[in-house]
Amino acid sequence: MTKNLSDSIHQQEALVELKNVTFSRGDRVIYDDISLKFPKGKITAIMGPSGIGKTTMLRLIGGQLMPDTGDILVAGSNIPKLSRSALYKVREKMSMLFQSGALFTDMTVFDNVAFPIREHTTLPEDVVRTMVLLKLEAVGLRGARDLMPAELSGGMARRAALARSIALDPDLIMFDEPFVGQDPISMGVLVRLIRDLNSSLNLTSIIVSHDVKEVMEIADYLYIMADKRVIGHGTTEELLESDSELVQQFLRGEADGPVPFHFAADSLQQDIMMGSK
Amino acid sequence: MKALQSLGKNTIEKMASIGRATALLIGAIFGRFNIFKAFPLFIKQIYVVGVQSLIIILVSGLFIGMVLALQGYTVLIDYGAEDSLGPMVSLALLRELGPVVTALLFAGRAGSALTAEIGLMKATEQLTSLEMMAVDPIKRVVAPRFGLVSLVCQS
Repeated sequence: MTKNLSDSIHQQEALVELKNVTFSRGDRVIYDDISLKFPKGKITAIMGPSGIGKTTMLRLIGGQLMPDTGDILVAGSNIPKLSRSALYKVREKMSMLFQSGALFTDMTVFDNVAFPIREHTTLPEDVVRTMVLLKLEAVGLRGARDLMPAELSGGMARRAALARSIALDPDLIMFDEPFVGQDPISMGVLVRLIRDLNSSLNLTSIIVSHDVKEVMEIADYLYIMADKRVIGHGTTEELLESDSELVQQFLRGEADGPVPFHFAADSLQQDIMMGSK
Repeated sequence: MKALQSLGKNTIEKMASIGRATALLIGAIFGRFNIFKAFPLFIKQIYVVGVQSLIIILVSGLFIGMVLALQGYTVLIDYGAEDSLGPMVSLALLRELGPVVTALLFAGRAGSALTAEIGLMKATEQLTSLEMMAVDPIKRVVAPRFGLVSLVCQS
């Protein structure tokens, strides 16, 4: 049953697709020939230990980094091969929620949300005002529209940034570690917002996170990455039943397993004996 | 062989770095920006980089003038030409030293303030978020500031 569900999700039309992507920084290989699909209208999560390049993947999809080889297709456009102007055109239909929120510090919350609308449209100011108020209402911050970003709490800043990222009703929204550093209430609010916005706006969402519980609660499909590749993918149920030790260690948060607790070293006995010489 | 490889790699990296810096400079000089959207930024920056730099430039000018007057007086009095002190100080300060001192202090004060501002935007991912909103940060952030600083410095 779950296998069928997973197959049907995976076979749906993909809005974003990575095909045989290899990416390295200097001599260090981050991704070695990986292929992923992000189905249209679904929430897909990428999980994995810190430092394996989850955020890098979002930057690759957004065209801020270029892969060494492989194709990155967003709504049929191959991002690495696009001209600058074509890339900017594709970016108008995608949006990214940054870990820090990345609100413009010299503007009020209202102006922050209005910024993309004013930049990309020539709508009259009263229409812009209505649009901004509706977006702020959706994230529960209509009353905070005149505050400056410095006056917001971490959770509020992320919600304001979420309102800004949906200002132009994008097709794709990418969340970079949306739950990091949030208290349980803010976390619950964000989980609900992401789920509700995804279904009401028919968005395609990509969430990068290592908050296993929250991600498993909302994601339709999950990829777990480690060691430069995808080590497991499927629906929540499939991953919980996975027989991969690496996947199980990650999901259960065990300190020791295929990813060892100890950094590679000689045996303790050998090390102590060496010290006495 | 390794030394040759390393030389080639370093050369390519240096050339790429020079290329990026040149592209940034060209973008800053020729980047077309919307004057209407940049107008509030213009007003704010004229105050920050122009008006707020005036105090330090005036104080420096005052002290340089005082030093010139003091030293000039001790020399000119030997020749009975102390009447020429006023024109000498004013001409030397306004015509010759003025632009140099203004440029140096302006570059130091306003340049560092702008660098800190843009650096903070970079560190807090504001520039990345501009790029992701399909807004070119060079046209929206760098070019207006570059144009304005050139304008303020001229005047």
